[in-house]
Amino acid sequence: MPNVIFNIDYLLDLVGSRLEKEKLKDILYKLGIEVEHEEENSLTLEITPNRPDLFSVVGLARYLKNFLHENRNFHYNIIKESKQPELNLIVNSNIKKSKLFIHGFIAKDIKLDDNSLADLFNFSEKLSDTLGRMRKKLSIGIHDYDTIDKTVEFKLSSDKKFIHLKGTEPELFSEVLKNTEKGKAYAQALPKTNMFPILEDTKGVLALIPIINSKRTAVSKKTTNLFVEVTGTSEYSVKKINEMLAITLHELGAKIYQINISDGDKKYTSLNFPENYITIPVSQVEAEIGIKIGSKNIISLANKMGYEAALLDKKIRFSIPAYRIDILNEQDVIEDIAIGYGYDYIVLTPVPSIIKGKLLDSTIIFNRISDAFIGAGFTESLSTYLTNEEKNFTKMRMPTPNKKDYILLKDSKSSHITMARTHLLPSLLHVLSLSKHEKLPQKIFELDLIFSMHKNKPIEDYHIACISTNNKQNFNDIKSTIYGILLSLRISFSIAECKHDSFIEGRCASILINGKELGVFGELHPTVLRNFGIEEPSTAFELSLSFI
Amino acid sequence: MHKYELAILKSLQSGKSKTPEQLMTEVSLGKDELLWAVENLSNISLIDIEREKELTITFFPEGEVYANSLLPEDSLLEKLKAKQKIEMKTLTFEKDKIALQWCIKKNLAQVKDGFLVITQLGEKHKVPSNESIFLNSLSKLSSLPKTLTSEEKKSVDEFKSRKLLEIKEKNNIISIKISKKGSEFKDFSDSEHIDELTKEIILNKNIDSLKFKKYDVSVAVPSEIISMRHPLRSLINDIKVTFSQMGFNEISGPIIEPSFWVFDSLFVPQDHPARDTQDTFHLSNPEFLDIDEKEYLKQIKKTNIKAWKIKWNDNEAKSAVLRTQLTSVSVRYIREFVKEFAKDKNQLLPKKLFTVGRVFRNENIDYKHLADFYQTDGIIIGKNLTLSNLFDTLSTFYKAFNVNIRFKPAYFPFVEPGAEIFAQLGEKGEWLEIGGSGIIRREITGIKRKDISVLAWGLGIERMLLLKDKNMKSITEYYNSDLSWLRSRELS
Repeated sequence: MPNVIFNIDYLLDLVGSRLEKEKLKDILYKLGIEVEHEEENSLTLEITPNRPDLFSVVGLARYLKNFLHENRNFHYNIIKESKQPELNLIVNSNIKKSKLFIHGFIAKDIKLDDNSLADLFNFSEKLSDTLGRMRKKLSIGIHDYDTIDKTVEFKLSSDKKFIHLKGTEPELFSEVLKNTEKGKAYAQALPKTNMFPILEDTKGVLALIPIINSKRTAVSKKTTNLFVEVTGTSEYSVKKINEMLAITLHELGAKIYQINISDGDKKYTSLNFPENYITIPVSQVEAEIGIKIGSKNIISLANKMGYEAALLDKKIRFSIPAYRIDILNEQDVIEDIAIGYGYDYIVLTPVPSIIKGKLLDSTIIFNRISDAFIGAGFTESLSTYLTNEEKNFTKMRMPTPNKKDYILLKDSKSSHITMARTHLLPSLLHVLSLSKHEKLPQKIFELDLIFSMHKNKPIEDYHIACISTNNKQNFNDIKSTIYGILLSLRISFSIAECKHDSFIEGRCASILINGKELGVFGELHPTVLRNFGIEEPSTAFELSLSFI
Repeated sequence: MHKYELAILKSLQSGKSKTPEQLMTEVSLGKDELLWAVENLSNISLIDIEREKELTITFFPEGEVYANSLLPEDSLLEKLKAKQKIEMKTLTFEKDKIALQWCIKKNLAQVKDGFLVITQLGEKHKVPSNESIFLNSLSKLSSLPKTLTSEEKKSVDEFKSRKLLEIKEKNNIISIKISKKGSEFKDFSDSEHIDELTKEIILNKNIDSLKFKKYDVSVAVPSEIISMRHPLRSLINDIKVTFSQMGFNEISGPIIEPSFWVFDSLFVPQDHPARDTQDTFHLSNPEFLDIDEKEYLKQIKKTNIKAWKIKWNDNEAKSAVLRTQLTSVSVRYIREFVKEFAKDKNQLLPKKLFTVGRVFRNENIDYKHLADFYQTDGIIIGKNLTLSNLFDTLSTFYKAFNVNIRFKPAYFPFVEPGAEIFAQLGEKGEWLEIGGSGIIRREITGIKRKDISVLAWGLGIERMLLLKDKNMKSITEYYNSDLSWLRSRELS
């Protein structure tokens, strides 16, 4: 989840209310925003990825202002009319190969200071890292408008030189990718072509997209007029983030102007802020939350959460703010009403039960089997399902089978986890290998899942297994235990002589149920014991419970 | 009184103190019998014993091996001094791992870019080290010398904690003398008191006239080892019983799933980082799994493309993973319900379902992190269900475990509204996140009727352990624990 650092003084300045820090934290919790880390004058907040509008101090301040009834403003009709188009952006036809879209706007007469400038840069970084998937899907450029021509071209270019933001000498694009921090970090976000997407005017390159801007158009505190551009592979996201940035800059005091974009025959202006409404019956809002709230209260809760709302014949029409890109349907709006109401105040109402609950048959039977093992003096163990070939096969004296025959993990972060276990005994032997100094006899069992492949399909099967370690014991001891337990569980079975790599030859037997060989028991082979560092004779048993 | 005890008392009547060896010949008893009787007499203050403390050394097999060669870190260091660096991949044997662990702990070597390299301290460290030499000299002794330097004492403590050897305090008896109370003892006829009750006595003797030897009830005895259920399994059973008492039916579903059921059907966009191999276990066998619900696949595909403006990749949906949460099981049942409901509109509602099982994350495994852990997931499918119903159900469930909860608005892509569940640690403790919940999006349930909705939640079971077990250091101790841990659990 994205973590964003907020300067508390700056935030409260924008909110226009001197809240106590504790009160602020309480309101944030109620809004579902968790404090990840706290310092004297800053809060690191976990902002959920559905609310990119809150990645900026300005956005969070807007949210809090509405919530606290301070200077609410629902009007995003923020565009200044200008007779002449402020800027013409020409999209070269070769850009189609890159599958990139572009939008932008001009923000004039803005007064930036350290706080607002940092917020603006952090905001665009967070947006392009998260929503923009590390700039693959979306990236943002902010330029000093006064340094550029009125006509800018967006195109794919061959490798050429420009002075990038942090550079001093002209460098080739390909060098910028290799030599700069941003180049290394975001080169993988470049479209898959051998050309470079750039913005260019008659004076030269404005930006290598989505990597880095030029030095010429760099923005500082002294900059008063900005050209903001958003590029990316999702036309919708590019358009919406462009709107979100325009609203943010408007709230920082800028005058916002549209730009003209011509893309072949298509000519359009950016920033249209289409009206977006969701209309929901009052009864549906109340039914989903489970409380009678009333239309008047719903409207005031909607305002609190930043929506303009109006009652239209038992229905409420919510106007969706342009910066709320997360609202898909009425459920999203109802959630906001519930948050406005306060989760802490929602009265509890039970769901009636019409039937008695029932456990799975396997739960009941497996508990019975476990009880029988506990009765026979075995302590229950529980292990991870993931293991490796050495532990699962080699240490058990078994050849590692063909990779098609078991579940194999891809790219595990831990080198000793490579596969899903195919039987339980290695897990139990592992426990005993850690227990050398414990009192004898050591008797443990496990009843849990194992994994295999059958006809290219994964199989998840329950097994039961036990091991008994003691200074003296033999085949007949484990046989006696197994007979005692299986007979008490009324499981009908027969046994037959068998060969098994993990057991001493002539001292193990297979268990057959309904004629199918499902289990094995006997004296563990001394090599197996030594492989697990066990120094006393041990007998073992493992049975598939697939017959249940 | 036992006849051995009487014989010893008699032979001590003279008042002279005797060594155990003298007494053994005089009353013709073996060493064990004599010591047993002497301890008994001393317990009832009939004799006085003079003792001398001895610290015996017993070597464990691992310690013996090192004593005859070198401590493993010395062996590894010797190799390292010769080779300068050793590739970590080659250190796979158990003994290498032990050596590695101690080299790093003692700051003799460190890991750099997949290689083990010697540190400055390691360069100075001579092989064999003083510890190795000392361990070897100890192996030739049966008891610890009375005077040890502080360095040697530290080494002994280290050997003990490494379970190379064991030091036991033994109080050897050096002389035995009759006490004042003992010299006044007259009743040598006590030999008729019965020690062990036998079948013969029960059947043949006149029981009313029998006298029994008394046991000292305060004598310490070793506790018997009790076999028991695993504490995590007990908690899981309690959870299952609690849900079933609340009218829930238990369900289950696969661990190995196509990504479709784990991500796409839960509205996690195909380009979301949580789906990467960084966080999720993808499989190389089987690499892909078929999605049998073709209709549902179409619906989910459409929904995802519309909401996330992404390009859909069928192979991404088929990519086999170990489930990262249990909601995949719930979603499969919602799908079943939708199909049944289409055939028969008179289904009994609400349907309440829950499941318990393991989920997986591709984590760096260490003493604090595991790759698999348990969750419990539940859903209620019903008419006119509300957020208020959801909060009530979860509050009721946690009340059964004496856990106070609170809800915080939260975002999960497949629910709206969404809420995280927080529990309070102790009376005034901090609030800990223990699960997520919400009302499932209509786009996912595919239920056409607006009055029917699905409440859902997923709760961490290990987090509940933390609320119960105040001594818990890390969740990893509950998995692959050694027998001493398993045997020392509380029965609950």
